[in-house]
Order: sequence, then structure tokens, then C-alpha cells
Amino acid sequence: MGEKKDVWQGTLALMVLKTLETMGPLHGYGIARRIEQISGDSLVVQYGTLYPALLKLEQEGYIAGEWGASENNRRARYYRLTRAGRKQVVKETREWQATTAILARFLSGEEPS
Amino acid sequence: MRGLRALLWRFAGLFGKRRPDAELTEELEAHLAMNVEDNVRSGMDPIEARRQALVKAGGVAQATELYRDQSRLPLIETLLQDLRYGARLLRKNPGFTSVAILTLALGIGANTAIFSVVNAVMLRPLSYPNADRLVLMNEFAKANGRVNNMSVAWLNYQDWRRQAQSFQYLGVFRFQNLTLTGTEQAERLNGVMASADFFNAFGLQSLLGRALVAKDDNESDAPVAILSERLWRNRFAASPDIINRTITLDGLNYTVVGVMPASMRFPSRLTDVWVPLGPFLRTMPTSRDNHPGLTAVGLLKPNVSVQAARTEMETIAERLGKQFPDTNSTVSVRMVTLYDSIVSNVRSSLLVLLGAVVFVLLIACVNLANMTLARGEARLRELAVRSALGAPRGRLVRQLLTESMLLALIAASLGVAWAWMALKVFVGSQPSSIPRIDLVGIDFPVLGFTLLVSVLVAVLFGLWPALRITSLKAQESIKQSTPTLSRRSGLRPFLVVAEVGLAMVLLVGAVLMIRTFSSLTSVALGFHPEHVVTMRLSLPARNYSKEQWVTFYRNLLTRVHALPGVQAEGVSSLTPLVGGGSESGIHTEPLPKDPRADHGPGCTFGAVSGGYFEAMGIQLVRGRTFTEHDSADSTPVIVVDEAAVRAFWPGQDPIGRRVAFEFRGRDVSDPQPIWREVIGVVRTVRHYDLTTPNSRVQVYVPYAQPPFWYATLPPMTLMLRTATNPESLVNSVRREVASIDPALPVFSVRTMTEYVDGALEQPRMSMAVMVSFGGLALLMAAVGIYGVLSYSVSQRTREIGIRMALGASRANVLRFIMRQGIILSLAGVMLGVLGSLVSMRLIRGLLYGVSTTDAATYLLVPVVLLTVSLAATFIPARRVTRIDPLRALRHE
Repeated sequence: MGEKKDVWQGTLALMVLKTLETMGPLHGYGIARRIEQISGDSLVVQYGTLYPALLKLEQEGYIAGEWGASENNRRARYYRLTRAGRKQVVKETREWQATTAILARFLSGEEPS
Repeated sequence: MRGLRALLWRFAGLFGKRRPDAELTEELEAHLAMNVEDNVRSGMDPIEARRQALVKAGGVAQATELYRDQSRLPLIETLLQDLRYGARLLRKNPGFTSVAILTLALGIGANTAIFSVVNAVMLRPLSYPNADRLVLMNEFAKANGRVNNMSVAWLNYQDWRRQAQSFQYLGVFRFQNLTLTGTEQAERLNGVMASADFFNAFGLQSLLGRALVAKDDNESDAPVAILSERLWRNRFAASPDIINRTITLDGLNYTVVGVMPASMRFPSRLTDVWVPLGPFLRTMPTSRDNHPGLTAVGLLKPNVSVQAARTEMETIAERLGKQFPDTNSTVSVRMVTLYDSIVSNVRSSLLVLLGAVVFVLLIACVNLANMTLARGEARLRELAVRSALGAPRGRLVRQLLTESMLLALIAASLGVAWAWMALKVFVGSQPSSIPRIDLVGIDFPVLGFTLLVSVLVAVLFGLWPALRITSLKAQESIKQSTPTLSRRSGLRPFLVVAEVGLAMVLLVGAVLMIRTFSSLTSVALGFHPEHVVTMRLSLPARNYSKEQWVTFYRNLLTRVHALPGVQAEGVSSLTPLVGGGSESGIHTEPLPKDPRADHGPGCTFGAVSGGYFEAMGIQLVRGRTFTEHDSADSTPVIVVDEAAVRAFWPGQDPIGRRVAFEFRGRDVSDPQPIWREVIGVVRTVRHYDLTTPNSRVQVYVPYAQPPFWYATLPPMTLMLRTATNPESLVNSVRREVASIDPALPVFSVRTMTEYVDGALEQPRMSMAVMVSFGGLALLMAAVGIYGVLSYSVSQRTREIGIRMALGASRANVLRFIMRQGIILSLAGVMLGVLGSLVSMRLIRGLLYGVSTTDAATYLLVPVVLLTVSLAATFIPARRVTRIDPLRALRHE
């Protein structure tokens, strides 16, 4: 577990949670596709990043996974947001917005009024 | 919380199969399939669709690995793996494993046992809220360079209370044994007379009712009593109605007003009952010259140091000395903390024992480091292969350390079991010379200590070999046909030298203890303790006048004399080795001008019957002992010991001379001596303990002419010398006593042999422990030498083969190997001599009749050590002589 990924995983976790909030229960492939689409295909979500992240979220109790059937009647593991996960989306979204706002101000070189 | 939840999940992953890899594989396959389907749907041909999907997905193996790391705890996983591997290795080498575990278990067990005693006796806090502020005080007088410890004079205590500013509470107590009657059998209780501030100072909440309060200090017709939890349970069946019940103590009615909890262990854990000052106020002497057995107990104010309080008390004593020069000019105050008063007797013995067990453990570690190193060399190839396959050095060291840790922990659990058994036997033997012995046990602090020791041990004997074995040089050596660390195996011989040295120190300690013990057992006691049983009687002053007291004992002696099996019988107010008796100045004719200021040599005096000397086996050297004609009306007589003859009449006949130790006069200006005529001389008796020679001469007066000094007639000890087992007589004596006075308890029934054994108890324990540790150390050192030499022999088989092929005789080779062993042992002995000379100074206080540099000991121990190490050397050396040169040359 290298350190480069931890940062990435931090944002990935929020993306996963937000995806599940918007789309409802979804399997891993669906989550990956959604993230790639939203990013305009500028992000690639590989197995090695997605599945450990999903497992971590599940361990932390923000999402729950269970086996179900896909559109094409294929067995797939579906993840859904738990109640703790819903709260977490709100909390992390707020934090993320605060961070980006600060960073944005920082990068634009604006002086606080 | 989230983190904890994840951790638990991952921990469960170690054992259960919550998300088996197969499930992930299925999930990934589904992912891939869906991706391929989507790609095909967007117009790719199936092969290209699959290729694109695979590229996007990234490495499956890597993902699985990451997923597995996330699902479990990789650190613990490797640990478990190492443990499993280590356990398998240990099982495969049962010889190494059992020797290693036994060695360590003995070392750790001994440390656990001794530490649990140290913990209970010295480290565990006292059970009182402000224990660190509690101090005890008594008085002492300095005269003619002699220090005489005394109890506190009643009036001095009153002045202390008025003047001292250092104390929150300043109470007082004394031992006041009492007879409980009115129950089915009269019983002697361990009583204590105490003031209200005694209880305030200790600050313990009573279990039932109340403790003593200020009004109990006043004289009263209705005195109260506080029971100990033990007495309340044993004698009154823990009845809650005990409060306000009336009990009879020494013929006086006391109302029980409280029960103290078991944590109230002062002045003794065996104290049965505390009674207030009130009933005794009238008996408190009004002379500052009289010290009636009181000890003061103070609770220091929170910010007053012991030293400051001590200085204040010394100032007060000095002031009183100026104010009352006749009685107080030489008197000062000694203050000790409660803690010191409890542990000071055993501190040095315990620390020495702790030092000794640490030595044993060090030797065990040295031995194990040696064995681990030897075994590690055998594993060099395995480790080199693993290293070549990419295992980092840290990983290998960690594995080797895990193995040592495993060994140490197994040994620790065995050691704890062993210590538990040893302690059970030890505490069960109820050694009375160790305070707080009933608290000794294996509790959490002790287990923590053991765990810490085992971890330390594992690091000590594991880390160094691990680092060495995994070193680069070791890895290089795999290229040789027989991997070794180096031909001379580096530091290993030094370990053996250290081991022999440590063993030598312990053995010297053990031998010095043995010699101490044997000098103690051969101390001239002055009496013959065999077949003598003693028991105590205390006649209440309220029922017995002086004449009745004398009649009672005369009566009792006559009745006891008639019992079958009694060879001699006597009564005495003092008992050898137990103390008792009283002290005074003593003078011959003519009297010095101021006999009270000039105390002379001082004497210990006691009232005895004529049969006492015969019963105790105290030899009469000259003259006669007392008969029934030495009565209240006849000439006052006295029997003196040989020391008195040496002091007063060297080379002359003392019979018929006169001495005086009692003075009838009102004060110093009017001495009025009571002259007593010397009628006999007896051998000097060890009065206080085995090791302290008497500083005073001993004199005896007939009990029918009791010393003038006795305010009340003292409790007496009945001594019986019997032909056979003395205990069998005790019941007959009890019957005889009951037939004279049924309300009189017979107490403290013990044989003189028990008193002698009691005096020998601590030296015997120190000796037993030191001897077993010394023996253990010797054994371990022998194993160490054997191990190193046999290893060195097996490593040099080829070299020896060549030597023999070139014509070296077996004798040559034998000598060659033996020389190696002898050099190691000699170096160890030299180190040991130095170590002993330094460390034996620490145990000087425990020795008696032998010097710390006792020449015989320093000769004997090296001889024993060298003999044992020669034997340990000889076994591997002999194996060499059986080497067949041809086979040795082919030896890989």
C-alpha cells in the first residue's frame, strides 16, 4: 500500500459514495464506469484501486455489499449506501468543498477582503 | 469508531473466511465480462473488446494482493506464519527445545517467585490512605557511648502533643495483651491499647460501628473495645449484632463499638482487639524516668517532610532535657516511617536474593544465546537460501526473534507455574520473620514483571545471534562446503567465560551463606533447647495480690512436678531468644556517689524459680540456685552470669558478694539500694537473638523475691524439660492450670527448638535460596562449557583428522581440546573472583562468623567450578579421540 494511492483513495471513496447516492445500488463495474464517464474518461479506475477501496468502505460500514443479478442476469455483487454512508457523503462533501474553496482562492492569488 | 470496526473486521479475516479470494475472483470476472459486453455493444470485435477491457482493468494478481492486504492484517499474518514455522522447528528439535525451555523456565520462575515476594513486601503500597506520611517514634538514651532504645515516657508524650507542629494527628499505642473470658474457654488476645489519634492517623473507615474517638481517651467506667475483622469472624461468627455487646477482658467489661476491616494491620495483622487509653490512664507513670511501653504514631501534615518533623522532635527532646535534666538530659527521639519500620529488617536479604536470581537469569540467557547461535549456524544454509530468494534481512531477523520470543513465552508460563508452586510451599511454611508474607502471591504486577522479563530475555538471547546469523559475512559463508560464521566462532568463548564468572559469584555467595548458617547453629546458646516446651501465663493483677501470685506459681510447679514425663520444671519472667525480662543499672559495693547517673555495665534481670536453670539446661558454674527457702522473708539473693563475674570480680570468688540493681529511694539524691547476696553463677545465655552478644550482664532473682522495679507482677513462662515429645504434656498442664484457676488461659505454647528455629529462619531461607541458585548456576555453566566445546569439536573434525593423519597422538589431541576448556574456565574463575570481591560486600550484613573474603571459600569454589568444567570438557574431548582420521578427512 503505497502512499501515492492514499490520496487518490481518499477522493475515490467520496466518488464511490456519491455515485451510490445518485445511482442507488450498483456493482463494481457500474461504479467504475460511472466515475470514468463523469470524469470525461480522464480517470481510469483499475481493479487494484477500486476493489480494495470498496472493501475498506464496507469494513468501515459506509456501504454494504450483497450478491444479486445484473441486467444481463449475471451474478454480481451490488453495493448500497448505508445510513452511516449517507451521513458520510454529506460530511465529506462539505469538507471537500471547503478544501477546494481554500485551494481555489489560494491558486487564484486573491487577497481576503 | 469506524477505524475500530474496520480493525475488528480485518482481525476476523485472519481466522474466518469472510471474503474468500474466490469471491473476489468472481466479482472481478463479472466486472470483466460486463466490460467486454459493453465494448462489444459499442462495436468492437470480441477479441479486441476483451483486450481493451483487460488493459483497463489492470493487474489481477496485484489487485488480489492489495485486496488481501486490506481484508486482513498483514503484519499479524507474517507473525502467525513465523510462529507456526518457529513452533514446527522447535518440535523438530526436541532436545534443544526442552533444554532451552527448562533453562529459561528455571530462570524466569526464580525471578517471578522472588519478585512476587519483593512486590508484596516492599513495593505494594500500605493499605492506609496516607501511608507515606505515617511515622513511628520512640525514645532512646545515650550514655557512656551506649545507645539504649526505650519506649516513650507518658509525660514526654503529653509534651510532644502540646508542642509539636509537624503532625496532623499524634497518637500513641502499646501492646496490651488481654484475656477474654465469659466465652466457653478463656482466651489470650493480641490486644493493643491505643489513643483516638492512633486511629485518626491511620484513617481507615471502620467495617462496623466506629473507631476510637477523643472521648475514649478519657477515664471512664464504661470502656469500649474495637475488634479486628479476624476476631469478629472467628470468635463471634461475623455477627452484625456485635455492636454494643459486652465482652470481658482481663476481668473488666468492655462494650464493643466497632470492627476494623482486615486492611487495618497495625501494629500487627494478628491484632485481635484495640482498647482505649481510658481504662489504663490511672496506671500511666507520672515519672519521666519510666517508659511504659508506649510508641507514638504520627500523621505528618501534608507538606511537612520526615526530616523536618524529625528535626522538630529532636528540638523538643532537647528542650525537655534542659527542663527536666534528671530524667531527660540524655534522652532523644527516634523517628522512622511506617514503611521503613515494616521492611527494614528484610530489605537487604530480599535485594540480595533479587540480585542472585537476576544472575541466574543472566546465565540462562548466556547459555541460550550460545545454543541459539550454534543452532543458527546449522541453519545458515536455509537462511542464505531465503535471503537469496529475496527475503530482506529485517524479515529474517524478525523471524529469528519470533522464535526466541516463542521459546521465552513458553518458558515463562512454565516458570510462573513453577513459581506458583514454590510460593505456595514457602508461604504455607508461614515464615514469621517476613512482614506482609500473607500478601505474597502471583498477581497482575507480578505477571507484568514476568512478561517484561521474558520479552527482555528473548531480546537478550535472540537479537544478537539473529543479527550475527543474518550478517553479510554469514551469507557469504554459504559458498563454503560447510557454512560457519568463522573458524574461531567469535564471541562465543567470552560468553562461556562470563557464565563461569557469574556462576562463581553465586557459588561464593552460597558458600558464605552456608558458613554463616553453620556458625549460627554452633553459637553457644548457654542453654539446651531440646525437649523443652514453654507456655505463658498472665495472672490478672486485679485478682492476684503479690502473695497470691507467688502461691499460685509454687502450687503450679508442685502439680506439674508430679506429671509423668516431666524431668524438670521452672517459671521465669524472661525467655532466652525471646527477650522479656527488664533492664536496669547494677552496682557492687561500695555504691558510686550518683548511681542513677552512673549506670555501670547494666543488667538484664528476671524473676525465676530455682528449677528454671535445670529446665532450660543452663549450667550452674558455681554456688547454688534458688530453693523454696529463698522467700519474701529471707535474705534477698541473686544468681549472676559469668559475664557479671568478669565485669565485677575478675579472678575472684563472687559467692557471698553483694550487688544492687533496685533503688527504693524517692529520687536521685536518695538511692537506698536493695542489696542482694550472690549465691550462684550460671552460664551466659543468648537473650535477644543469635547474632547479638549481650551488652549487659544477666542476673536472676527468686520469683518469691520479685524485683522492686515491678509495678505489676509480670506474665511468667512455664518451662518443662521432658524425656520425650514435650508437646504431649501441654494438655495435662492446661488441666492443672484450669484446676487452680479456670479463668486463666495458657498461651504461646512453643518448644524452645521452635524459638531457635525461628531465630534461624531468615538465615536458613537465604542459605537455601542461595544454594539452590548457586547449584543451578553451576549446572548451567557446565552445560554452557559442554555446548561450546562439543560444537567447536564438531566444527574442527576435519582439522583434527588431518592432525591425526599427520601423526598427532590421541593423547595430543585430547590435551589440545582440554586445554581450550581449561583456559575458558580459568578465565571465568578469575572474572568470578573479581566479581565476588566486589559483590560480596553487598551481603556483608547477612553474614555471621565469616568474612566476605573468606580464604577457604575462595579456594573451595574455584576447585569445584574447575572440576565441574573439566568434566564438562572431557566428554566432547573424549569424542575427538574416537575420530577415525580417514572418515574425518572425508567429513564434509
